[in-house]
Amino acid sequence: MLGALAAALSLENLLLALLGVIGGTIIGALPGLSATMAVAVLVPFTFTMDPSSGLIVLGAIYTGAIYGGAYSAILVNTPGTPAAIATSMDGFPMARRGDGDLAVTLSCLGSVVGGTVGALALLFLAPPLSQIALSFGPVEYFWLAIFGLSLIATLSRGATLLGLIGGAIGLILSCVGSAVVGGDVRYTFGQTSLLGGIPVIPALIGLYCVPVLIDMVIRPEAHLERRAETVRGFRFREAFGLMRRSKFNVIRSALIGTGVGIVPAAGGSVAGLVAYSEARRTARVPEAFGDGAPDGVIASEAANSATVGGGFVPTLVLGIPGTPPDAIILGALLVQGIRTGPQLFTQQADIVFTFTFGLLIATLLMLPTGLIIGRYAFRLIVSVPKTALAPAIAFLTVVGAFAIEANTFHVAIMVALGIFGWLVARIGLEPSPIVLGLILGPIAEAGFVQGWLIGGASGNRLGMFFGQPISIGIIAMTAITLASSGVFKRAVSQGNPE
Amino acid sequence: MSGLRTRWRPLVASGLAIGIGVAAILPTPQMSELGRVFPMTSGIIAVAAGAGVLLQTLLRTPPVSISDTPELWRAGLLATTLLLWALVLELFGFVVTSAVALPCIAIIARREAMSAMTIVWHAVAGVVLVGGFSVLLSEVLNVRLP
Repeated sequence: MLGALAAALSLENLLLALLGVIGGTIIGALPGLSATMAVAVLVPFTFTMDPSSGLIVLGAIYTGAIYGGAYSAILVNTPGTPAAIATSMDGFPMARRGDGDLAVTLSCLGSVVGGTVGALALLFLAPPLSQIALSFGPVEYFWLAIFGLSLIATLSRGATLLGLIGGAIGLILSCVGSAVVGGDVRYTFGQTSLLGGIPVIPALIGLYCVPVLIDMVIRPEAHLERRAETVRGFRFREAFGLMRRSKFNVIRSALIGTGVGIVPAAGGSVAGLVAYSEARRTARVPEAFGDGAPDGVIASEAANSATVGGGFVPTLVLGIPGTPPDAIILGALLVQGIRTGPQLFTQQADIVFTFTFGLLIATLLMLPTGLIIGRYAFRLIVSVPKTALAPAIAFLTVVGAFAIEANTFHVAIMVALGIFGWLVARIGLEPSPIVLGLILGPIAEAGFVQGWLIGGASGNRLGMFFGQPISIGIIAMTAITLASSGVFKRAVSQGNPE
Repeated sequence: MSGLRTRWRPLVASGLAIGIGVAAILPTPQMSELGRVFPMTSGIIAVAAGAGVLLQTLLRTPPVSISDTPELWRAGLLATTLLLWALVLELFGFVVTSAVALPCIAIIARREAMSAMTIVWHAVAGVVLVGGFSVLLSEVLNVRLP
């Protein structure tokens, strides 16, 4: 293992990791240019490299891209990647009140801690943890998605019915196109372009970014508050103090991220939302969440960065990729002649451990690079006039929606959903429940239909859905989340009769 | 009348939810037994939540946290520009549509007079942005640009 550490610390690998983190961070910060795209584009270049160096570059890009999503989430309320959805909930309010630099520094610190925990889990606990991934069947995925949807109660901040309306709209949007199981064609109105469904990334960009853009144009005040004292430094000491006070939140969020990352297909968005919900549920002042609570940013970023290491556990041990970038990296492993499986950690330990240490080093390199890039990103956004910022953001939304599949129809969907998002915001509907329904709807439906069919074939549907230990655990967590959000609302209404 | 003025937002939300829910439920008889479960459930949730908001609004006035938005004409112009951009992107191409749309959005966002130098800087920034992304997408990321 020490040999692998030394190999990872070689000058060449360090430089590759640094370049990967910088490139990934910049790509992740641009809405629509995803970690998957960055990793996929660079895979062919790694074929000529030493296997461990190639993997370090890909891992570093992936790590940087997941973190980079926080910048646009905080500074323009647009999650650069779906993993940063929860970051925007408190990050953007912080930026609006003039604490954008603090939010960026907190997101960097949270990501470093989360990424480190995920990478350490991969290093020391990969074979036993991979068994968790094997325990998840369709029904567990169904309940996991329902658990994710139950977070609407937490996210809707006292307006549960409006949150429910948003969630239902998201679920209906997720039904557009061919059904995930069975192939029913639904709500396409004869448009073949809609057969593939509503694309998530353009929808995400539209629902989060276009309303901000419209508000930016119609309101005379500055996009973000600018405080003279806040543009001087990183506010590192202040952020570090907040992190120390929030240490349980950081560790819990990192563990949630690692755990969710291990479950294939759950991903950073679910991890961030679950960690955010837990942070809010256990906070002393839960009503501060949504109005710029630093703990919300910390929780989301620690969790989504931890999914990187967590996601590699089933990828390396079982050959089951947890996320699309994991799948691409798995392909790169196979091209390099590396066969995944439990024996990988014994037969080709040098490559695996060098890669894991490389991932750890890339995570640590995120601290200086993230702080520096974040500081300049913040200063740029607060100093650029609206006449330049609005066209630039509009351009990035168009590029982001188009670039995923080089499809102009996706741009139209992005704009249409963006205008819809702005209009429904006037009547109190927020984008997060809609996005949650859109992302989790297909997971819930596929899990439900498959579970229903398997349960029917075995003659025990009730046992199939309610008799498995993991399902019971997730159902209990869902009940706790719903109950605690109800308790919280009663507490608020008692203190605030209005 | 003042009650109606303070309650219009939840009433619209309720109407929208019931409308979308009913529209989602109506085509479900044409779907397969398993294929209709989620659309039907989602539609019922939307209708039920909309009805809940309606009842809540009629029984008491919920606090409305959204302030009125000034200068809605800018919102209309921006939305129209974005829609037109999306619709003609395939026809006129990425660079041409961007070159037209970016100055339009800058004008919509403009509140104060700009000096000639500011306009030149904005133009240079626009050229760098569009040119940079054109190269990034077409040459580096191999994305086919319209």
